[in-house]
Amino acid sequence: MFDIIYIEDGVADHPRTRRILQRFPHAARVSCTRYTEIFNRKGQNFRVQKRRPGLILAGKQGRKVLPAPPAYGIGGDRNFYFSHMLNCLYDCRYCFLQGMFRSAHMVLFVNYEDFQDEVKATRRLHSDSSVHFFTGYDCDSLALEQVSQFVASFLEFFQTQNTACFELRTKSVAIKPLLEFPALSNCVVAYSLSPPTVANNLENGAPPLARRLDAMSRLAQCGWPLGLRFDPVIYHHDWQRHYGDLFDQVFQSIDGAAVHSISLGPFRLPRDFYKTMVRLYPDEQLFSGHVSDDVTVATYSQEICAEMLDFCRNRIVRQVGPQVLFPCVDDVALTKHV
Amino acid sequence: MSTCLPNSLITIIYDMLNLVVALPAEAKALVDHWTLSRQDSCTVYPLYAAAGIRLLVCGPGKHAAVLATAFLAGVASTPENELWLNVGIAGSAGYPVGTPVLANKVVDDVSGEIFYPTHAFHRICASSSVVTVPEVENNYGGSNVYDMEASGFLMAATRFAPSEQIQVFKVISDGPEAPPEHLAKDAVSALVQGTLAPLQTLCEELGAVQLAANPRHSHSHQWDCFRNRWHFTTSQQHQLHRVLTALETFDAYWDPCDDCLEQLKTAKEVLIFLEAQRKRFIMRLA
Repeated sequence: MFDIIYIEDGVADHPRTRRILQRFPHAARVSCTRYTEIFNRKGQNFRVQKRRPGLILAGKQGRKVLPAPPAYGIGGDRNFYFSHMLNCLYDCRYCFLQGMFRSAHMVLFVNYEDFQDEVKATRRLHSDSSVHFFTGYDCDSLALEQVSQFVASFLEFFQTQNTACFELRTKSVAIKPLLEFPALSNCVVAYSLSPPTVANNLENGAPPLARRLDAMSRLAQCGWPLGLRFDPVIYHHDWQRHYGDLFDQVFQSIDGAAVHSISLGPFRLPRDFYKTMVRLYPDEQLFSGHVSDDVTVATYSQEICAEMLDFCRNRIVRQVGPQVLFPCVDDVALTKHV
Repeated sequence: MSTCLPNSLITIIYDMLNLVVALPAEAKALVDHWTLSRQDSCTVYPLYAAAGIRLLVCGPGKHAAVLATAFLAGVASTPENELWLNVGIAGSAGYPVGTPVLANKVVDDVSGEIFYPTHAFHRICASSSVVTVPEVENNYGGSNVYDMEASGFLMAATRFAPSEQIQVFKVISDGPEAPPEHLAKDAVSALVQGTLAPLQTLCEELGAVQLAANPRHSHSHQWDCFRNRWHFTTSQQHQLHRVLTALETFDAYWDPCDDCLEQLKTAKEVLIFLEAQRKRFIMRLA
């Protein structure tokens, strides 16, 4: 899986580092003082590195738990996120990580206990509110589980933090660690879902929709609350038929009672990220058609966004009602879009 | 049996490969392998070339490598799109003589500067940390590889090209049991000769890297036609480049002589027209 592993000097003797290195006895090991020497340097090409990324084992310093963007809640009073990893095993063409990071190497922060301490402190600070903690913004929460054992560690932790809600965001079907653990009512397993045509063309390396639905069904049977994330919704030829079929397929496969929350949002990116992605993939139709980057957020026109979201919202509400639907729309950005 | 590819195939694999080597004896095996010819027009350095390849002999030491790499970048038409490779001998206690090694970290022993060449391809041979020293090293510490040019080469090349397109490839020539004093020119050539197979594989992988880094160059003719017909400011040229590239992803090509463009008087009008065309296309997914 990895031919090269970079190791920050500060975590070289960390038990998690030692365990991971044992899994990759043939990988070249390269020491570094800070992961940023490799990850943040100039003159790198994300697209090229994605052909064969390396793994960087590091320790997260500074703030670890951060406020989530305003429109990303699923019913909590306060929303936070943390990233134990930077970058993803999959290569989804619409993903903002391509525009945000200079490097496609995968950074794994091995100091989970420091994250957990900060989650506890954040929970204490907002003890009078319902608090949600999200993972999987800057990575896929589950995809590298065999290496990271992140889920195994954080399920045990959140079992003791039952007043906080925890979301794992993923496209992975490697659900064994979840099936082996008693379902937690405060842990939402949220799947990013797209129509097969979108997934097959734009979600390189990710499991196909049918396998994701199968994994979700098994999780639901075990009592895990599920999140459905229709985000980003991609504008393309025949999109109504494709998304209509997707909703039919999803709600035929998944018991509505297991659905904790559904979120929905159009393809949108900070303009600078978008410009970087266009430079990386000039041959990609996704970046060539209807997306405009005239304002701070690159997205479709207001008319297209409204049409797509109205369509999807109606189809979802028809199936499960409006209570669990949380549109992820940055209204400010979209209303600015003329 | 030679692993040499015919030159015509090499030009298909990569646009331009720039090789920097320190010694004529190192160069010899490569010149023979790729049938490179001496470029008499270059009087500053021994420069050899064939279609798709340049090889420059820089002399020993990191300063010589800096200057020669910068000189080669001056010869290159688009150094940022080209491939850069330092090939040479090196010492190590950690690898047997004759082992090919790709640098994954290069430390300048004098300045302390560190480089991390990125390997965006499957493992080809051993990879190791290389320490660039100012003089021949006889005290081989740990499993490090010791050379005299890599940090200088990288110092210069990383100014011109992305890190994925720059590599340092060494063959172990000496170690505690094979001191460098006994190394003859013919032996140096033979050592490089012995690593041509992994070197050839590396060049092929770098060709794929180059292709991924520069996926689209094809509209240059169309681009020139537009620029010849209307005056585009620098900013407008960027817009033109972007919109033509976007249209090309939909297999839409515009000739400036098309009737619909015939009426347009200014570059601004052309850009508005092309932008409007771009927005007519909807992504089709198979």
